[in-house]
Amino acid sequence: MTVDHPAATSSESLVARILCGERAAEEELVAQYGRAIFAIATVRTGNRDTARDLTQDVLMAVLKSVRNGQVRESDKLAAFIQGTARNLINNHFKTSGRRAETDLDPVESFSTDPIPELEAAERARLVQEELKRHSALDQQILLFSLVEGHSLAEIAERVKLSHEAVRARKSRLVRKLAKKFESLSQK
Amino acid sequence: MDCSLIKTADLAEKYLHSRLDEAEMDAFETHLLECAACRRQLELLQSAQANLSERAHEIRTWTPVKPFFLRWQTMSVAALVVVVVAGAVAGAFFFRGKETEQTLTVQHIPSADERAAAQEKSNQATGIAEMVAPADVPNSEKRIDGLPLDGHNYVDFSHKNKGVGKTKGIAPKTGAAQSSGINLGKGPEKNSDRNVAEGSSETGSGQESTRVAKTDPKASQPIPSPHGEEAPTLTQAQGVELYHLGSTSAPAFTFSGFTSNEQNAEGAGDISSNARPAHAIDSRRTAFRDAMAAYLEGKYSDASGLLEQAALKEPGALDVQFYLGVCRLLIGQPQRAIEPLTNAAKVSSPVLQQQAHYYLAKAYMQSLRLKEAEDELRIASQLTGPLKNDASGLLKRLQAFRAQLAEN
Repeated sequence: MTVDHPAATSSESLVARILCGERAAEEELVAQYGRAIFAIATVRTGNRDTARDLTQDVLMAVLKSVRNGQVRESDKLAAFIQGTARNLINNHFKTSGRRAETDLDPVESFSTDPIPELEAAERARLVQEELKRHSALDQQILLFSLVEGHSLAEIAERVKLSHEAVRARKSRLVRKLAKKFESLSQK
Repeated sequence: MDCSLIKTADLAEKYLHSRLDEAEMDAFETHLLECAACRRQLELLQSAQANLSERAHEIRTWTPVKPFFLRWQTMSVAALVVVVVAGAVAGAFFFRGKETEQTLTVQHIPSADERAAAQEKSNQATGIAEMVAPADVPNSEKRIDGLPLDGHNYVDFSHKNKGVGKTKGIAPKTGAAQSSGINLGKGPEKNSDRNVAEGSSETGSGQESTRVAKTDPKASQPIPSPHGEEAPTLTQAQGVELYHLGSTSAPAFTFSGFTSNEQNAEGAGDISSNARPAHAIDSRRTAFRDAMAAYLEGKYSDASGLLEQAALKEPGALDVQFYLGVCRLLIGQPQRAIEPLTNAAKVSSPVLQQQAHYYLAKAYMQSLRLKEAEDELRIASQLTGPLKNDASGLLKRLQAFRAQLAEN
């Protein structure tokens, strides 16, 4: 189901094709970087809806810059996108809710792709399934670590286990979750 | 930055918790845009974080179940102990009975003069007993039976914050504490705004004193009821009933509830994590973070102080107001809990609004402002949320209680 773009089109050729006005290249850029931008925006804003809007803003701003030839080092497109994302997210907080305005053509707005949404739902289901398969103690360890941000030493003291046992339990659970994820990615 | 460094240094998790500095964050995000594997790892952690946040209460309150054989062994040992103790008691009775029989055989038969003297002594003792315990005091005023504490004297009950009236489903195992601002006992009152006088002769005249924490000048100013309702006069039995109604426990909290100042100001704030399943802790909310860490450890007094600081930094944050109110309630300052809880009740989400109204009702109850408590419970019972049934049930009990008070 998932489409990965690890060895995706090199950023130089992508930029060159966009500069030539190739629409397919723009779509490739969106597919290649959209998910990562969304993940970044989600972490930085803590709100998936806001992150979704910001992802659109970032993609539009990046495309506009590439089209206008503002990306000087096309081999560093990822760094350019990251900088754009960071600035737009920071602006979002500064304007406290006012939406960023862009002067792009209306045709530029990207419709919400249902595939990532479905993937996210499937991912959530798999994670739940895998987590529930583990003991409550393992889940507690992951809760204290991942949600509450406690260190392994603090968790060890809390659940009355050794530091090493906590570390082993946590990494085993994360590894199993990752394995589950890989199966989803390969489908 | 490469994948192996990210893996060994747990950078993805640190990134989720905003524990990377700006340069590290930029480098990590740039790598994320280029590496699908690391992006997937981050998505995995985000999904797990969201799922665990949703089930945080369930997971946190889990207690280990012993394996069957262990339980069986425990039961065997317990049974053995019971048999031994029962045997010992039976043996003791048996031998004591023998001794009594032997004693009876040599019992002294008193003369007529001795019997008259004993009768006189007995009459004197009865007279003293009548002076101490007037006959017109009903037994129910001296000892309350049928309480969940198996007939413990309620004076003892008032000094122990036992787990009665626990709010179903919302109290976490860690940091949960029962609290009521009402103190029915004679003994020193530590965390109470109200002190209902103890003793059958005093309760008859309805003496009631208001006690406040000496260290807190604000707490010493009684808040007048806008309804003009006078504080009711309670017997001890009624005080116990009100204690049951007003006692409360700490609502759950998960760290995923952290939001930015801007979001709180913009969106009128959120109280808990439900609206935002997965996101990082906002490093700007350090006071709130510290306060809630203390809250989770059950240090409500510390949490209250830190939340006061957080409220100064984030005046628009309704989550701060809510937990400040709850903490004050839990440390026995119900009157001071009213203002922050009233602020928190302005939150837009009905579920969170319900929580705020519910705890506000508790604060009013502990402040003996029963009419206002009833109003708040009515609102809470009309809102959609997990406390709907609790609020409805409590409302009925409070209405019955007020009707009983009115009759008296």
